[in-house]
Amino acid sequence: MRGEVCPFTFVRTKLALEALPIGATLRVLVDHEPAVRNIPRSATEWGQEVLGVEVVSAGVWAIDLRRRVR
Amino acid sequence: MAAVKLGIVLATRADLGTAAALAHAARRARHEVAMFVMDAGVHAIAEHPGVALALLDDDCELTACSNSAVGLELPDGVVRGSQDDHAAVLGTSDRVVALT
Amino acid sequence: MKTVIVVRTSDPHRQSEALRAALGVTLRGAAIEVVIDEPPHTPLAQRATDTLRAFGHAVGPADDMGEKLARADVVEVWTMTTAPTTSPTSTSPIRGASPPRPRGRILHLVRSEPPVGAVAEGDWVVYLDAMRLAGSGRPPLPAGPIDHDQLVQLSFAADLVVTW
Repeated sequence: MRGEVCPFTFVRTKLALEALPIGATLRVLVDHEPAVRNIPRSATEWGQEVLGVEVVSAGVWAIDLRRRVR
Repeated sequence: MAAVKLGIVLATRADLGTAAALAHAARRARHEVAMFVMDAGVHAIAEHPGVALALLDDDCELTACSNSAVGLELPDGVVRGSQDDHAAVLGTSDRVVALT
Repeated sequence: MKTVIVVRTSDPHRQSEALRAALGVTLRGAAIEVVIDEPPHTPLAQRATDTLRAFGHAVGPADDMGEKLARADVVEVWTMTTAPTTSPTSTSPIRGASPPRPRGRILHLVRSEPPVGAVAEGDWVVYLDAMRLAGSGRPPLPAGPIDHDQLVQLSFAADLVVTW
């Protein structure tokens, strides 16, 4: 999702999650700091699981999600 | 009586006064208030932090689109959120007033 | 839930923001209809339009605004950011009122003239700049000046609030 603007970050994340089987994981890379908080928060509200957030490189974060619900 | 919720979407500078007045009036009526602010509305909040602080003091939820808030200083308590929060305000409010 | 986004601005940035908002509102499952008369002016607007259509949401001009409003749960009308240079006066009637809706009463908050056919007989109208309630539609409050407490009351008494 590097270089993406809201809401495309969320749309693409949601689509990617919905394409996965239950229990599968998704790693989302973002370079916009508010997304580091907002994507996990939204994913939780969508019923999905946030496995973790980590810094990948300067200004790039990885958000790991697991699909839990349809 | 079950609490009802007023959602307000603000995307202009000119309507900040109306948005705030409506929010405070809704709080006086003991309604919940959730406001989502984007585009020029975020600039309005940044330029008038006292208005935002008064809304927060009145227990209004105040979320700003972080995309619109890039480079802007917002008062503590204003959540830097996303368009998903916009969707949530529309979906969870009993009535929505959009000042866009 | 059905949300209608009416784009009443030709400003490229505002158009983009309206379409960005429309796409954002789909994230919680709402059905969206975008009413827009102009083609996308920016790549972001084009991309948002294409994405909305790919998801099955309607994006295009209004052939019957009244009918679209009657089916909406939420309406956002995106205009220019500055206040209009001429607002409808609180004594000027709304042009082209349409017949009463079969169901649902709309409270129209008027900053600029609504499109013809948007206001049905039975709808209520508040001229926002003047904070004045029109007598049309037999509102539950006396026509004339109102305050924001009364505006909140009217908002919840109506089925839908649309700000023009």
